[in-house]
Amino acid sequence: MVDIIIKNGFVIDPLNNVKGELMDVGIRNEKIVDPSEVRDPGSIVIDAGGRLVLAGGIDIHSHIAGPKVNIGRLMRPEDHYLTNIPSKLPFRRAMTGRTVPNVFAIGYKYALMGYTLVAEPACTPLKMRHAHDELNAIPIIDKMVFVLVDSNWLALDLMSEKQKDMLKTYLAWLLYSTKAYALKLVDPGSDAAWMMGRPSLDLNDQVPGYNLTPRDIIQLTGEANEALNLPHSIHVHCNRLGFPGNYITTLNTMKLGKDFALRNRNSIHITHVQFTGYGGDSWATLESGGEAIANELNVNPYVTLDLGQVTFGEATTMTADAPFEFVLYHLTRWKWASADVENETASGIVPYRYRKRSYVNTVQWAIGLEVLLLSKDLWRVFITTDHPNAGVFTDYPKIYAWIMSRRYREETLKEVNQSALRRCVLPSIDRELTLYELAIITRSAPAKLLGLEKEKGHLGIGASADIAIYDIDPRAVDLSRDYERILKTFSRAWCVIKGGEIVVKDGEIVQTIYGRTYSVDPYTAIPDDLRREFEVYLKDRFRQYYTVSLNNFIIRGHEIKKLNEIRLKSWK
Amino acid sequence: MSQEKASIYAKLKAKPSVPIDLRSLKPDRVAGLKSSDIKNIKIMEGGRETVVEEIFEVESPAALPQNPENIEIIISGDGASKIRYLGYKMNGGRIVVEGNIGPLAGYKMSRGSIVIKGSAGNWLGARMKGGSIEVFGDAGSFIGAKLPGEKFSKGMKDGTITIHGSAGSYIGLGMGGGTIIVEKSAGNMVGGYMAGGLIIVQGDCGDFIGARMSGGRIIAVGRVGGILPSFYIDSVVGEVRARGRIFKKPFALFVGDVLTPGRGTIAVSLEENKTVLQPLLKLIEEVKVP
Ligand SMILES: [Zn+2]
Repeated sequence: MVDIIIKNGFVIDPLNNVKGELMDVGIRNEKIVDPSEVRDPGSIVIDAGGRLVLAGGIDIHSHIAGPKVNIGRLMRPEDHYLTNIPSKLPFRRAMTGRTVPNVFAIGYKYALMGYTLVAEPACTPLKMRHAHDELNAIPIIDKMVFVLVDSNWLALDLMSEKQKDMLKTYLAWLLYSTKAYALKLVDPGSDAAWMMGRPSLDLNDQVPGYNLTPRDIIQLTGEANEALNLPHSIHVHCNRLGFPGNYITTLNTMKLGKDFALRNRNSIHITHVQFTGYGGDSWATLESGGEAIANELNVNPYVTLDLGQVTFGEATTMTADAPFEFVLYHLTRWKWASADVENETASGIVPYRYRKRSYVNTVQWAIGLEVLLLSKDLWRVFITTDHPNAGVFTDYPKIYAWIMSRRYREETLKEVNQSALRRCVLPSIDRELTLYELAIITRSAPAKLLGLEKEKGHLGIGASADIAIYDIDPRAVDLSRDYERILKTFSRAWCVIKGGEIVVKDGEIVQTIYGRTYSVDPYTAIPDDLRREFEVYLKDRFRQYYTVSLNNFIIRGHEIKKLNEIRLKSWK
Repeated sequence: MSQEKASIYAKLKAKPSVPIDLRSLKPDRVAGLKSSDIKNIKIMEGGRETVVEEIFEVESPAALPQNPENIEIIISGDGASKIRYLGYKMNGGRIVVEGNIGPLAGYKMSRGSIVIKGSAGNWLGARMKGGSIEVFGDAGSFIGAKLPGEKFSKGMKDGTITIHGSAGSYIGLGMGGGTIIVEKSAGNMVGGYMAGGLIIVQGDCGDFIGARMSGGRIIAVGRVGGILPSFYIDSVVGEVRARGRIFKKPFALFVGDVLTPGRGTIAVSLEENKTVLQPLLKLIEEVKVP
């Protein structure tokens, strides 16, 4: 691997408190080193000429792999028509698809935008092998996958029996044996209810068949998450998602974070908050709950959230929240896929189109932006579209433009449904984010949220050499006026370096490499006696519940192309 | 500007062994070009990018008129049935194929005409928006259709497809407008998911005619495989006329498909379908079976 030196870059690096300075960046062996070390005449010199240099972007929530994505591809052939971009071998493989692109398109399009780490936020344990196979095939970016635990019978048993240590051990074992990175809760308890033919649950409803409420599930999983010292907090998709008036449930869920916080950091991540930020009591009276959620975020230091921002246009909703997809199908009446996974979860997929003229879609669009623009601490709020649920990830530059340019917001405000705007505070917000703040919410803060701030999300010495250079000189352009420039610049990076290799040059992919898959192993740290007790318990229960054998369930390290397993040490 | 007609002759040099994507060789694309430019238009041979000259012997005037309406492209040679996407999004002019052509000819075309002297493949005129296609041989399935997965009204919107031979199944699937005329027989599912437009089949039809149609009109001049129970009989008429064609014999008119719920009509010839229609005709009182 040849050394690289980037000269004269305009560097913004919030984790190292660099607010925009002309600097050199040196790269050796996949890491960032002191530029003075890179002097060898054989090294590659990139003259950035004052262009913007950022760490590689990090997306904490984007559905890029697993059975839902693949069924989305199967049920939406029309999503792929006329989108084929033939390969350019040996540099780039063929790309196809819009909302559910093929694996190559996912890796390349993220890389083209300057993203180098993406988290697939929900996969059920039994389907994890498939998810890893797909992740293995996604080029360039680093990736990780979160494991679904909210309606898992094994977990629910331990929760209702209040066997807290066994629950922690089970969750630790589950993360280790599925090579996952974090715990995900989707509409806690609702799939367990759904599989018995019951409607979805609110925070304090009883989960049928168990002596539990969704509140207990969140509380117990959160406690386990903190006790295991997992790098990411629990990742929660709130109850009553997609129902008018659900912002109350979201506020109550956010408040739970305080009850199980053990560490000096946030303890609960609320995902795609737009879908759970609805006021009003029916679709006709829908209002934005964005302001209330932003206010709670501002006073509650235990919570982080991401937007699930609507970007208007074609989308494919896919979620383990099966009851919600059932409702959505009956609103759209076109196509619906639904699946149950034995004693683990259920899911649904429904194509959807967000329209600017629609009252409901306009409110949805406003909620995401309101939450972001009204929050005081940008280290705790993240941009996502919950790809491909609220929009595709390639629309991120649009979101950047909406938050950085009031002028662009006003252009869009003219085009959307006007009566919906009367129910939103967005038109009265003046705030415009700076490039520094953008670097926080797309680079530094996500790295911190995932507990990877040592190696990702910054350009300090020792960090991974994941760097995006954009063709823009921030000193020469006023981005708030020239929003077209934001859209253009961030859609195609000028140069992207991933793991010390140049992968994008002038907005074109020049090389296909494969990134790492991050996972955690909290299981090894658990005391031996507890592990022995647990393994006896597990063998018995597993045989009762599953149609596969325990040996075939566990995913081994060699099944993953480039595994980066983080072994956790402490256990409380 | 010259009003002269210009003809481009493109003859396959050899029988192709892989599909050839010829979407960029169309009158509105070549209008105003020099003959050397035409030879260098990029096309796909299988998964490989190449130029027209590599695959075809091209004969054309030195400079082409600006107006595509004055341009005609004539494609000939052995193995033209490997050519796909001929006249893709075509917007004027004329393309003539001396032999057979492959799938997706006239896909999304909006103006101009395509004449195929041999047979056509599947998806002929799929999602067509206007213009005309004439086939002297037979045609495959999914003529004037939508593509799989698309919404029901996304098929052909306008224009005319005339097939002098027979056609396969799924003719006019999800069609929203325009006309399809099949002079011989057609396969199953004629006008399935149809939302508008007209289909005339002068020969026999297969099963499930008009299944899930919500609008439009189908005329079955020959035998039909059957009438779905979700259609109800409306009346019997002495003759049927459409697009200048007059069929002077009695037809039974059906309305459906009530599952959609739809207001499409199917005219089915009485003589050829006596056994199928006999029990249904009892449902209308004044009818006299000829
Ligand atoms: Zn999601």
